[in-house]
Amino acid sequence: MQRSFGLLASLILRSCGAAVVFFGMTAPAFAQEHEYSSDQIQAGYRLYVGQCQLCHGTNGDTIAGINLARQQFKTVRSDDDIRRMITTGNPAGMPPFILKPEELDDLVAFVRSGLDQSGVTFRLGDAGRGKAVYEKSGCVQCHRIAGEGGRTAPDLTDIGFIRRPGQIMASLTNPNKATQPINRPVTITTRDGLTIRGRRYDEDTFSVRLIDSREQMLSLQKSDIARYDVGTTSDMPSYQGKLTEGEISDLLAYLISLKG
Amino acid sequence: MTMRWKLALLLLIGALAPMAGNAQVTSQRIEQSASEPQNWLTFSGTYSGQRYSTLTQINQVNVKDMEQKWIVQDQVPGAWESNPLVVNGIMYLTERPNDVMAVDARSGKLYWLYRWTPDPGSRVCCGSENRGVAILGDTLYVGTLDAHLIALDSKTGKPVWNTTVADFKSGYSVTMAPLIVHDKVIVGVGGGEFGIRGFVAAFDPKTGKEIWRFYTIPGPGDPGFESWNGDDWKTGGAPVWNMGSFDPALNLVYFGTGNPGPDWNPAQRPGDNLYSDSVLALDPDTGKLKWHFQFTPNDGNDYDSTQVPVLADMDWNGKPAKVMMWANRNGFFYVLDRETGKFLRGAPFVKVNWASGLDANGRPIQTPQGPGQPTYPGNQGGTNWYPPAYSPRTGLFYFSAWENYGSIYRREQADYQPGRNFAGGGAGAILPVPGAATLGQARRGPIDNWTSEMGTGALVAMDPKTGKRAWSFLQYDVTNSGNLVTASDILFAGGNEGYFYAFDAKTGKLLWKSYLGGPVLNTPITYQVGGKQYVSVIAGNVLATFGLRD
Repeated sequence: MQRSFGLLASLILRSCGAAVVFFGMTAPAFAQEHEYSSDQIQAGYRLYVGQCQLCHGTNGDTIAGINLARQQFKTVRSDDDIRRMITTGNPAGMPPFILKPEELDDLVAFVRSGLDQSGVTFRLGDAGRGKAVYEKSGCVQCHRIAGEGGRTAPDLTDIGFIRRPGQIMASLTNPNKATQPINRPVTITTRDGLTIRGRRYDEDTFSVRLIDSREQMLSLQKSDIARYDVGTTSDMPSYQGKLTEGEISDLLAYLISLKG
Repeated sequence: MTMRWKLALLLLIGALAPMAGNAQVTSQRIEQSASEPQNWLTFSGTYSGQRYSTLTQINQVNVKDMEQKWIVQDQVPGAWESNPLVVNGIMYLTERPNDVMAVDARSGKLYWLYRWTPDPGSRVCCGSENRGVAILGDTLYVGTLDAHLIALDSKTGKPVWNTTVADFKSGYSVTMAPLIVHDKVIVGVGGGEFGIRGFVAAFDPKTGKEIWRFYTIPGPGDPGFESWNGDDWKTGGAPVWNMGSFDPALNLVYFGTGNPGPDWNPAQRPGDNLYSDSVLALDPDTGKLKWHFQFTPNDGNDYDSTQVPVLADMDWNGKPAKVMMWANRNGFFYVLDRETGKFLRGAPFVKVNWASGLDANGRPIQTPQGPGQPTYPGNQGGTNWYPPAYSPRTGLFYFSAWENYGSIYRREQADYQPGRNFAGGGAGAILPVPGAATLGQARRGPIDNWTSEMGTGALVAMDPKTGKRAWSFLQYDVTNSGNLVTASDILFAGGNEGYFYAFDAKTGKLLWKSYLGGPVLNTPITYQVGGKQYVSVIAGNVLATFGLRD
């Protein structure tokens, strides 16, 4: 269901370009701007462990059709929906929980963080504005969404499904810390004297596969490589200071909405 | 006895001898399985845990000509950790969650498939694993995720009996293959992440009735009970989820035990927590404990000691010795006297910082790392469930290791509720840039996105007499592969990258490899049918069988 919803949503998005419609069609919707602080997320985590984990599991994925870490719900969309569900329960088997309003806020923050126990503070702005930020900030030169954009950096079509908000936030503000190890840039000089720069798909004892700066898919035998360097810094610039805090929160909301 | 009768008896024995290959599998036959290397009658090939075969048709010269003969496709995707048996040309193996199949070991074609659907409420920490069946007579035995033990007719796959080993609602499961000793079916329980009280039990092969049970956590009044505080023992874990070994001469069966509960919070269960992370020497007839050796007292790093004990006889300081070799998840390689449990040698085989060393009795001198500090080896250990091998010809002990691999542990109070997770924290990866992204969700999927920054794999050939490596084969990705060694001095092993290898067991020279497209998560076996030697290995969702080019 998750993928077909996403496909439908992205078709709508591309055909009419209206992010409002996009959010109307698919959960989750972040209609208002929200900020989830580190303290709230971590307090939410403690509440989750005590109250929710028994049924929802450590990763929030033990109830069929629900994956809290990936914001996949059956009926819930807004933060108020989450609060209501916790407070009233549902006939399918979830009991009502009596919690203080601030505890409800904490739990919402933890769920919205994608059950990210590290508790990185993040603020969600407006996804529609975030799409415009994405387009004007040069992201599209390297990244690709639903067939549009470059390929030298990871395809973001389903980034909101595979990464948590805190991880995406870290990617925007401190990419050297947040880059997945496999995505670190590699520079290879072959025994023939050819220099290749690119990003790996996979590497093993004998070989490496990558997409190079010309967007070519390559498979190299290590025995043919003279020099091999894996960078420790990301090719992606930090957007801290380049974008306003408001723009970053809008961009984050947009990226989280991309479910593939 | 008259001469005539003697002659008649000899003729009778002569007439029966050719049928020996078709005779039922008895405990005696398993005990002497080294003498029928065409079959793989028990999990490790023999009771010793050596995974050493005397088949020599595939040798150092012709191994490069091995080709794939047939495959079995897994019907149920997911990690496939089964270890097949082969009896008289028939292979018996399991797939997730509790399917059992009989396959023609010459063609890969299915004779029958038995399906058991475990109760949906059954809980396992780490995947719906099953590591194989045992055979006795013409009956197969398999444990289930909902902690049943089922006997099946080996020719039809139909159930003969089905007994409950433990209550799955309390977090018990059976993932190991049972071990047959002295006409008993011996099996242990999983559930170390759910606050179980672990045990090993023996069952009557004809009826399924329990004969004895040994709790791996002593109760009030038992020796070792003092190693627990208050009621902690009731939820103390120490599961037995992997194969044991048996020494018929000493009449001792050996099993390794898993972590104490809760896993990651040792402060919540002060004391040594016997017999978690230990090896137990039990009398197979009574289940009585003869000796124990604890590798990791009061463990907080999930260092299950459920590796397969490997038994060998060798000279030790100029005297013949009956030893047990053990590369432990905690990163130390041990040699013990298997008659008494006495510690003979122990040294780290990978980077270790949770202990500064071992004292004269083999007890670790623990150096716990502070909050946020990396612990080596990490949560998956220096090695794990995948069985090692030992060659009496080379005198080397072969196992897979994770090198330069650590974890940062989180320790939290765990509240016990029956059947619920009782872990007490968690473990995260260590990366070169502090605070960098971890694999986490990213390692799900068909592409192997592991990078060497998080640790690398090694196939290690250890000389037990020196505690030093004779050779290593280093791999980019980590490895969860078991090992098989033959009298042709060929070592077969795989890795997470999806390669299946043949090495010169003496030198580590790579002789042959084949890419199978998925990780090897248990271990190869070898057997012979119709005069031809085969080697089978499970990688990803395929069991592939190799032989020499026709």
